[in-house]
Amino acid sequence: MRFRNYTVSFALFVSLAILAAPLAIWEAFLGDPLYDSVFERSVSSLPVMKAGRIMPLSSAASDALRSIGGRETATLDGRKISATKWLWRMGALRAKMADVPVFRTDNRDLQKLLGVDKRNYSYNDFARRYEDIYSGAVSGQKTPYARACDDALASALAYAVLANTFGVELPSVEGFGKAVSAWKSAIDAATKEYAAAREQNRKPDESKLVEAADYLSRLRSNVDFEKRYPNSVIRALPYKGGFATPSEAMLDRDLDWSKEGESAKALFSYGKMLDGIYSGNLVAAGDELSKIFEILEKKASINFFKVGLENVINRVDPFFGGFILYMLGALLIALGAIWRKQRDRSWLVAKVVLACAVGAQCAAILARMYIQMRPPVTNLYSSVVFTGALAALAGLVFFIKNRGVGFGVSSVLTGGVSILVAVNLPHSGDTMGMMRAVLNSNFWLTVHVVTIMVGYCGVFLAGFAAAFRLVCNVFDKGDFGEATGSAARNVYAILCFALMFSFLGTMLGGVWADMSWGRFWGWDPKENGALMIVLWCAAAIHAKALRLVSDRVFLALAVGGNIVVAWAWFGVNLMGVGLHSYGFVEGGWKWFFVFVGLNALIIPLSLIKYKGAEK
Amino acid sequence: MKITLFGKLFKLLSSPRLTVALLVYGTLLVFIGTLAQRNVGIMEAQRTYFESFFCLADIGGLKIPMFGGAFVGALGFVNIMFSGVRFTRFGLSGFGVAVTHMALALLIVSGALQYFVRVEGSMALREGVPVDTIMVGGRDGAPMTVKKLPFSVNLKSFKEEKWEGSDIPKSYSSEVFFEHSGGRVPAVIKMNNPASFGGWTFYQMSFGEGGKVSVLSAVKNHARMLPWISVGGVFIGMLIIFIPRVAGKSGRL
Repeated sequence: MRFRNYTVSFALFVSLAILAAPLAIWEAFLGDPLYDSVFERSVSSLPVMKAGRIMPLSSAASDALRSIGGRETATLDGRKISATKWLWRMGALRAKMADVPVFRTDNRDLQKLLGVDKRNYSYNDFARRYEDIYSGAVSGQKTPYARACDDALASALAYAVLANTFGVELPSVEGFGKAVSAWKSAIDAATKEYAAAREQNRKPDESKLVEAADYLSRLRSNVDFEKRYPNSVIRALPYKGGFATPSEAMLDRDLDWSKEGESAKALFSYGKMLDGIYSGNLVAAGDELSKIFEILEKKASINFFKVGLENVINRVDPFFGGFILYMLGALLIALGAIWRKQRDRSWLVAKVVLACAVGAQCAAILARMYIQMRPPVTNLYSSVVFTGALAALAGLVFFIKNRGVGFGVSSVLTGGVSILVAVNLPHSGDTMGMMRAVLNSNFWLTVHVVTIMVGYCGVFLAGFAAAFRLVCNVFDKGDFGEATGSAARNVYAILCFALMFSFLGTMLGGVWADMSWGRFWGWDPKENGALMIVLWCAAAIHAKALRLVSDRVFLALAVGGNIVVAWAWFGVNLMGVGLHSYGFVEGGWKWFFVFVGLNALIIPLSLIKYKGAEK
Repeated sequence: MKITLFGKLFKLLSSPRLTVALLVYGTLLVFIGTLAQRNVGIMEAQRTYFESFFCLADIGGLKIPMFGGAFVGALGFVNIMFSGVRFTRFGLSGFGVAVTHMALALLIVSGALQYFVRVEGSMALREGVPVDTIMVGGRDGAPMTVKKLPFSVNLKSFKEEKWEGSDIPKSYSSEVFFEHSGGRVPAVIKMNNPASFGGWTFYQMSFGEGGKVSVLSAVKNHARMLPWISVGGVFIGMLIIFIPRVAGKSGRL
């Protein structure tokens, strides 16, 4: 017994160490205390607003970097830097950072045009070929090259917008802090000149207005760009009730420039911080950061705990740690299967490791729910991690209750694959983004979307458990009648549960549609997919309950459920998306067919008969 | 002789094999119909595959005659009814099965009823201009007709809200009043929150001209509640079947 306890404690320790590793590595080696520390106040935990949500700068910056280059980190002088650090340095050291290849294109023709031999290119690469890319983008052709040009143009403009997140450059003014004061004195001078002219009933002296006019046109063009990419803009400056960009705040005629004016104070502090980073004086930058935090902490609209929590989660990355643990669990299960002598211990460790994996995944989902104040499923990304977590949890419970190692394998597969799929989904902005009008209803999201996801999860769990049994049958040399029977009973129970939830979820979707569009059923591809799941589950269950098929064929039907759910979940999306995003569809379809193909290969295994009488 | 024939027919129509065959066939039909939506559009695929008794399916250029959705629904209804007569058992579980399947039969019937009794149209409202007609049909080349309402709808204002600092819509709402022989009834129509008047229900659909025009869809559907009731029935039936088994861990689960 004591031995068992030691084993459990050891497994628990190792699992927690793996989960904490990403945070530890960043804190100790990769991160920069000014930018990335999560234990002290750092730039990464600055609350900012992007696409309607208040989030830590680390989230906003990685979202921004991902949307232009597909990755969450950048490489500077051969060293990996965080998105937060990249964003600040991009704002402060514009000339230098314009050579860092953070953009990405997969289009060979565009790569050739840009003169790069890899996928990545820099802002300067883009700027050199701006005219060609522009004419490619506006050519109106529907070729991959034209689309790549269009994407490159949008990314570059978003980049230009992001450069002005914390401060602006003004013509012939050195430094960002100075830019703010230069603007202030220019408008003061202009106002004075206007007042004097009115008093003396003369025309204003244009030479005294020229500076203000120059600056004004620069700021106006900044704001124009920001308006054109409303969801790319990161607003970091406290302004009235919410946030603004420096250009927006500076253009405000009624901005309070006195000592009490929070926006003006923050403007100066951000400017000086950029200057500090520019000149390498990081101590000064740190001091200014504290001042900014002081201003922000007075604002009641910001929940600092939430922002901090999100920042920690960004760094800990529980989905990544969870994935590693799922893989470790898979290894341990395999080890136990091969090495019979140590099977009990190996599977015991596997159970602990998997429990930590599922725990990490569930904790991350709970944290996301808290941050968003939404039910767990709000978009494709969250639907994948939620369903995976749920299926992994259910599989783990069956595994711990010794209902068969097949459930352990299902747990690993559903959990691990869900994370793998989620992180590889094409980037479509913040995964905790604000909900569009029709989805802006926690009630319906909960009753319809969550219910249907529970149904999907059940079908997958049943499908994976069935697939595992059918594969095992190949190796069990005809002696698997009993195992197949018990697997079929378990799968049947899960499938009944899945049918109930997918039926209810699908039909509640109908009720929601009836509430918001006035139709219960519209034969929309997504609705059809859900209907297919319900019909297929019902078919499998009736076939088994009415004793029309043998246990083996029933398991094959359950594996078929995997294919139906994959179609309903992703297939219809790929079909619809097909008109818009060629590149993704190609990749997406590939993995879809790999999954369908694997399942289709397993189904014929049900033809293998076992010795003795069959029911 | 006649009795045997009837007996055979009864056995065939109440056969469990027919049940499973219909369910599998239904899955396949929905799949083929969904694929067809890519080429012919949602409305056309709906007419061809789901609202018909027979159809000529187009599978990769190959024309194959198939049974349509109406056929599957009708046969499914008959199958449920006959199986009910043949297999219904006493006891809690039998009761649950009966409730589930009867509600399901009602769901099929209400689906068919929607086809006959539901009228859908749309109206574009401009601020301050009363409108008493709706446009019915007109999509996918179907003929469009104008239908006069016994009352008029007057848009007071349309509001589009966005999440701060983004272009993501937060809500759309139209403040309207319904005018009927001198009387005025105010109402707010929002996304997920329709308003009803005189047998018609109005839904926020779209807007135009930067918010000066609000487009509503208007639906008249006397069978609106039927699907809701049947879904509730099916779910209650399923609970009656499953809960005792899960709670007692008995039975064949």
